[in-house]
Amino acid sequence: MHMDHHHTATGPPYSSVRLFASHQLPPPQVQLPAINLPQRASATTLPPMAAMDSSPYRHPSPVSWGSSSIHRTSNSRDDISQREMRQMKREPTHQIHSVPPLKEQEDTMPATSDFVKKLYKMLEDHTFSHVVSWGPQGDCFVVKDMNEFTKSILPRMFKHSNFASFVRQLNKYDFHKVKTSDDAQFGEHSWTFRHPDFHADRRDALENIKRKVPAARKSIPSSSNGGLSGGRGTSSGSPVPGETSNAELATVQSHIGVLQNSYQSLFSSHDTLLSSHETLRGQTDSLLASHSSLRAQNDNLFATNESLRNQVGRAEERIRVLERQYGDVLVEMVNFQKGMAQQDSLMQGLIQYFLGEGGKSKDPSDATSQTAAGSSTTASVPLAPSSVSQPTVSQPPVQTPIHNMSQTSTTPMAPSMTPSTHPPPSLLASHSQRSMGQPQPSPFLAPPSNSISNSFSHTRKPMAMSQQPQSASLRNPYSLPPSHTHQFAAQEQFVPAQELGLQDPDMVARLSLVQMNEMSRRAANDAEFRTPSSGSGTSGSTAGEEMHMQRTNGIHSHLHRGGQQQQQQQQQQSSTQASTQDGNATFLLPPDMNWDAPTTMHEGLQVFTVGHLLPRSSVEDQNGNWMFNANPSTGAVPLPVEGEGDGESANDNDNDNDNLPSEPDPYSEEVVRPTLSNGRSSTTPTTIRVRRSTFVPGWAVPPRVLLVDDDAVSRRLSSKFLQVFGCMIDVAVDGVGAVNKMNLEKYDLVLMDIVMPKMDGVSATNLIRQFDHMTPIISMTSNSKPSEIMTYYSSGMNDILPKPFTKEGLLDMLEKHLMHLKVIQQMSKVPRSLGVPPLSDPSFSEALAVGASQLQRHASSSNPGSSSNSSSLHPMLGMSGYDDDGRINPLAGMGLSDERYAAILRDIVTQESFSGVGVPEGFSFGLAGALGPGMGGEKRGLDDEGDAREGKRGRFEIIE
Amino acid sequence: IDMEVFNQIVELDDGDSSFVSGMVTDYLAQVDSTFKKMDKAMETRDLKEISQLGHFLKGSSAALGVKQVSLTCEKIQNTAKGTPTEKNLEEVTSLLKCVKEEYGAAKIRLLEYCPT
Repeated sequence: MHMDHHHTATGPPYSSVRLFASHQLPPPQVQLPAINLPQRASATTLPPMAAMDSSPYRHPSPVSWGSSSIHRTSNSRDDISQREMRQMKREPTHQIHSVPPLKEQEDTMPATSDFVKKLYKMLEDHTFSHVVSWGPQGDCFVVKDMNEFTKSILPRMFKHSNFASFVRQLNKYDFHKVKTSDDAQFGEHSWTFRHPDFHADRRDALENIKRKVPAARKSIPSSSNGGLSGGRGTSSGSPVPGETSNAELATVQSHIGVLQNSYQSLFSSHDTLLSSHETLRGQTDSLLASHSSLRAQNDNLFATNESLRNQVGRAEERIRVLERQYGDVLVEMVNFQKGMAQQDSLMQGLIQYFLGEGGKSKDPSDATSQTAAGSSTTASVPLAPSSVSQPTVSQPPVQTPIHNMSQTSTTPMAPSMTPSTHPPPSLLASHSQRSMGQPQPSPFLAPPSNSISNSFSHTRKPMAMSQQPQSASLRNPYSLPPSHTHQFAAQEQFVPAQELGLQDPDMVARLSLVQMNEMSRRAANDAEFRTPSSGSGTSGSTAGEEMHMQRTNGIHSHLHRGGQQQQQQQQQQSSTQASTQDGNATFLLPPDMNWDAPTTMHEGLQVFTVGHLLPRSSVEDQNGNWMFNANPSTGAVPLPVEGEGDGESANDNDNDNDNLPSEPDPYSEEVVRPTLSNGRSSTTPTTIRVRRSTFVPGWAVPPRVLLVDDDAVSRRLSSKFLQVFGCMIDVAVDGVGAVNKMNLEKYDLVLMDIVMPKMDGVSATNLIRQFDHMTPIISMTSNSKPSEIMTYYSSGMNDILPKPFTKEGLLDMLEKHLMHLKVIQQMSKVPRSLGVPPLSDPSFSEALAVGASQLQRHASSSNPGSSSNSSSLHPMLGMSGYDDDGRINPLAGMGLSDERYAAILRDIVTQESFSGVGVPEGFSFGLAGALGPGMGGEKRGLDDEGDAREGKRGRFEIIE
Repeated sequence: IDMEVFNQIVELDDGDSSFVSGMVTDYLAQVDSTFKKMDKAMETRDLKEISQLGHFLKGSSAALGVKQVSLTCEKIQNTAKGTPTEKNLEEVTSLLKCVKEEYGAAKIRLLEYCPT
């Protein structure tokens, strides 16, 4: 804009210059004639000079000439034209004035001023008379109509149309305007001029009419003229006209020079103007260019602006898309968390399943043991012979290899018995029923403790002790067969143990047990590995192969527990069956307890109280229950019943049982009591807990929960809930306390209030997460808007428990996040629970009866699967009873539906069915380390807790 | 009073009513002290404090199933959260009055359930 303004500003000067320049252009052309003029003038003036000389009556005053020539500079154009006219008219004037002395006239005429002559001529012309004419007396002339005169006559006669300059000219020639009354006769616009020598009839007087000489310039021309006139005076005045013409020429030349100068200067100025014009044009061009470039830039800017706008629009769109995506991602994350929880539950399910598989893989061995047991119980006859004659029995393996194995295991046993002092039958019985009689209580105590390999020997020892009195020699053979079997399994480790064992039976027993544990554990691992690859269903055959090792263990376990248990169980079944037959029902249950209570019973109790019993007191409960139910009735009652039960299969056993009980029972009591006494002390709370047990999930280990709340009422309520749920509670009243406690101790779960004084839950969680990434933190809050929930999650919280929470809500939350503490328990307990009826539920005795009858049906078939199936039946029944009671689904927290839970249970049951008993094996699973305080006294409980705690860190490491 | 919630607490009791009555006593004491704090905060026109106390009271009331008090406390919390205008202040004052009445009624009922 600025440039534009400048440009327009330069316009006027430019145009004015131009105008001026165009005026100036002609002069250069005129210049040439002007330069030539002097020559022409000199050429033309020469003849007139001669002519002038010849004219006598011409007396032009040199002064007037000079003055006139000088005067002409003021009006060069007029001068030029006048001069030319004068020169051209010199001849005509001669002709006009040819009347008296023609030569004189000719001579005088040139002396007359052109202007005067033109004036005269104009007045003579009558065509102009209506505009301009002589005055009435002829001594003046009148311009009648100035306008018309200016318009038509002046241009024609004087080549201009300026009346004012005409009047000036008249004044110069000394005409005067006359103010007369006569004016009226020619109108207002008439002008009357008069000159003393200007008369219509006095043409000669015209010569006297000269230009007036200005006073200022008079001196110089007059002096020069004076000199000239002096010369002229001598030369008779004739050269005066020549002189004047020369002077005129000179003045004209000087004029021309001046003009040339002015032309030059004009030219130069024109040039400069042109150049400036050029530069200006250049400038304008550049301005135009810049303008156009600016316009282009502007266009560009517009374009970029447009594109930017588009980009912004696009960016906005993208942002919107991103926002949407962000929202989606958030939703996804929430879903993902849900999914993770489900996955967790699935994993737990799988673990359970695999463990079940492990149990199943155990099964074969158990099955073998069972079959072995079967051979001992149902087919006790062959066994008895075997005991009588070793060689034959050891060979008899007409059965499957498995049986063979078991047989071998059992057969050596029999010989081992024979050397003892006891009578053979009783020995045999003691062997076959050894499990039932003396060792039973202890092994059954042991199984729980077996889970803890460390503590294994504790319970084992007493057992060994109990066995000792019976037969010292029994120990050696006892230990030997295992060693054989182990050699069978190419277990070199055991050899030294065996040697040791030879010397120190106790040691051997212990070692063998320990090893057995390891073996079984390894086997379990193998099973774990195998089963996933081979598939779930194939465990029977493939696992069977693989189970060699385990079988060897199994044999071992036969010796210690497996066989005993199976025998016992079968016995139990048979006894229950017998009960239905004999109507000794009253006696029946006690024996059940007597036998099973130690092993299965207390497990059963746990199982039935999965979700009922307070885990904390599980030790007490179980032991207590066991003590309550079993001890009082143990005495002699169970044995007869058992005898009756066995009676169906083998009378020998019955007898043996009859005999044995008296022996083992004291031992068992002796052995058992020390451990059990712990439990006994807390029997009273047990009852209460049992009553309340309806809500309590069974924890393997009491979860340690940190409760953070500033509200005393909420805190109290929550802690009561937690207490009921069997958690160990620690309390913090604000965020600072929570962080400190988290720093000092480990917790399984943190329940965090959000709005608290000092430090709120969110910042506390942020702090905790800086050093503890694992512990689940659940926010308890009544502010559960989505945005707030996002804040909680982003601070590192794992879940949200909306504040006015219910018992169920809290329980779900606990189960969801403390599953690892529970699953272990479920894994260990749920299977164990199966097959064991509750103590005082008549429906269970019925169920048992049914199961027993079914077993009986299948018992004849040597197929281990079928027998195990039958044995599994009453677990199932037991389960159904359990379910019928409308218990909570312990897996609800894992996101499993009840149906699924039932299905899983069924799976477990069916898996369990292979083992029939399988419980003891389950203990040796290694995972069993976490089996809990319930099993092996308080000390172990603590140890276990530590284990479980470890387990918590890496949930899946347990199984390896 | 939301009996469902309250019954849950009652169920938790060991048989004697010590737990429930303890809870109720605690609650009553806590509410009383909170009301005192709220009155104090009202004097100093500390709406932020009132909001926090409202939240606090809301939580404990909800835990015990004292529904009305909890609801009103939530209102107090939200109203007091806003800018401390004269209008909000008035509203909180009236809500506070309201919640005290509700609490009075709830207190009687609570004490009916568990005489202490």
